[in-house]
Amino acid sequence: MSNGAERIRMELMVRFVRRFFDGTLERSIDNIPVRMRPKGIQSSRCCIYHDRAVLRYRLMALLGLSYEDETDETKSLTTCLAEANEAPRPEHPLTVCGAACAGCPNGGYSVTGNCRGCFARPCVYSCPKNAISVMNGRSQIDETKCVKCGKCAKVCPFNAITRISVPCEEACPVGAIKKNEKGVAEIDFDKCIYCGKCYTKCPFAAVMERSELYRILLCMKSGQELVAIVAPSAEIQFPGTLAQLFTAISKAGFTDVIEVASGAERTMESEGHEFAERMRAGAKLMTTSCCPAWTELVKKHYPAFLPNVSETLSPMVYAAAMARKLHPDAKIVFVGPCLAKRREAALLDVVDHVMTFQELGALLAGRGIDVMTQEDWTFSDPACAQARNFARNCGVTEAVLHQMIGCGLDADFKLDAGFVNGIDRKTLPLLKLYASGKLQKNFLEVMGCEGGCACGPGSLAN
Amino acid sequence: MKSEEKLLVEICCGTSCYILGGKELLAFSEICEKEFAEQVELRAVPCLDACSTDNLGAAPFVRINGVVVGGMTPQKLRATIEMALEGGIRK
Repeated sequence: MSNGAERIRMELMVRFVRRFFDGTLERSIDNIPVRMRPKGIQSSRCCIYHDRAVLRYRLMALLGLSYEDETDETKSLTTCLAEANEAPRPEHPLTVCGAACAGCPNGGYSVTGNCRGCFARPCVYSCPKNAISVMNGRSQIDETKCVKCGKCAKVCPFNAITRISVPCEEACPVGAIKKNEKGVAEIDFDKCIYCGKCYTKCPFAAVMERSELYRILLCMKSGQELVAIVAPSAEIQFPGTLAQLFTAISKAGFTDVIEVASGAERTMESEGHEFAERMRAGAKLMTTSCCPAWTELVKKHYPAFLPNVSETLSPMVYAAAMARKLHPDAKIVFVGPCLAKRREAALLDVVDHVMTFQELGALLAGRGIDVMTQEDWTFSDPACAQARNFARNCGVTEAVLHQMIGCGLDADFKLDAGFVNGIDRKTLPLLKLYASGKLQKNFLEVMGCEGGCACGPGSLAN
Repeated sequence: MKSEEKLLVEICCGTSCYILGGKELLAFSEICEKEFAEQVELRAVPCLDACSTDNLGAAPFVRINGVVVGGMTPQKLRATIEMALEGGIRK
C-alpha cells in the first residue's frame, strides 16, 4: 500500500462488494461511511464528519455518479443506488469531488521560517525579476513579479525557499485540470486525455473514477451472461499464476475468461503489415494506436499528426470481437489497469463495461476468492509470448518487428524505433518534436504510463 | 537453530489482505528473510480468515507463531518479529 488514499479506496470497494453479495447493500449503504469512520477513530481529514462526507461521494462515484452532476445533496445513498442502474453510461470516467479537493494554493515559491535574512542574500541577487526584497530580517517574494523560475530556491544556503506544488496540475501533461473560481479543481474534458495522472497524484484523493462496478455486479445477480476479457498485465497483479487468476475470475461470476493478449496477436499482425505497407508507400513515420491516452492526446492536441497513427485496432477491440463471436448474448467486460480504456470503450461501444484490476481485486476479496488456492485454468488457445508482453515497455515494437519479417520490405530497410515511456510534462516536448516531424524515426511507440500498462492507474502492481 | 525452533511468520495472501497491503509485506519479507534467516521461517499462506467486515480496517494480517496480528506494515512486521524473537509473542 503506497498511500492512505489507495487503501481507503480499496477497503471501501471490498466493503461495498461484500454487502452487495450478502444482500444488505440497499439497507446499509448509507452506514458504510460511519462504519469506516466511527466516533473515536482518528480522522484522515479535518474530522470524521468530513471523512464520512467524502466517503459518501466516493460511494457515489463507485455507483458511476459524479459530484458535478449532483443536484440534491439530501439524497440518500439508497436512493442513489436505485437510480444508478438507470443512469446512462458515464461519458467521462473521472469526477472531481469538490468536498475532498483541498484547493491547494497556487504553485510558486515561498520563503519559510528557515530564512535567516542573511548578509549575502543570494536570493535577491539571483532573482532575474527583482521580485525579492528583505524585510524585517526575512526575504519576501513579490508574487506579482515572480515568474516561478526557482533560482532563489537553488541558491539559498539554508534551503529556506521551497516550491509550492499543486499536484494535480503538475501531474496533468496537458493542462486539463485547473482550479475554478471557487478554488476547486475542475477537469476540462475538451483537453483531458484520460491518462489518470491526476487521479493517482492527488494527495487528497479528490479525483475519483466513475466506476461501472455496480452495473457489473447487478448483471451477475440477474444471471446475465458475462465474459471477462483480461489485459496482459494481469499476470503480475495477484499472488499465484495467470492460470489461477483466470479460474478465480470465472468463479467471481464470469461465464468465460478470455485473454486480451489473444487480441494483441491480431493487433501485432495487422500493425506489422500496416507498417510495412506504409513504409513501402513512402510514409516517414508510423506510431502505435494501442494506448488510448496517446490516441486521445493526438486527437485533442496534435490533430495534424493523426494520419501517422496506426489504424490498427487495439487488442481490446479484437479480443472483444472474439468474445462476442463465442458468446453472442453475453455482456463483455474489459478487465485491465487502464482508465483511458473506459473512454475508448464508451466511444467505440465494443465492450459493455470496463473494470480495473483494483476493482477486480475488490470483487475477488469481497467474494472471498483467493487466487493462489485456485486450480489452473485451461487456456484453449494460449496467446504467444510477444502478445503477452505487449503491454510492457517496447512490447509493441518487438511484436511489430517480429511481424515485419517477410512483409516484402527491401532487405536494407531498417526499423528505427523511438519509444516514449509515459506521457508527462517531461516527455511531452519529445512528443512535440515527433509530431512536428523533427525527429527522424520511422516507428514510434508511445505508452501513456511510465513503465507500461502494468503501471496504469487501475493497477494493483504499482 | 532447528526448523521447529524457528519463529513461524505466515503472511496472509488472501485477496483482501493482499490488496490492502499484503503485497508490500511479501516484498518486504525477502529483506526480512535475509536478516533473520537463521531464526525466522516466512511463508505466504492462503486466507487466515481474520478479515471479517468488522476487522477489514485492520487488514493485512500476519500470523506469528500462531498469533494473528493485524494492521501490518513492513515496519511493523519487522518490529513484531524482533519483539517475538525476544520472547514477546508465544503460543
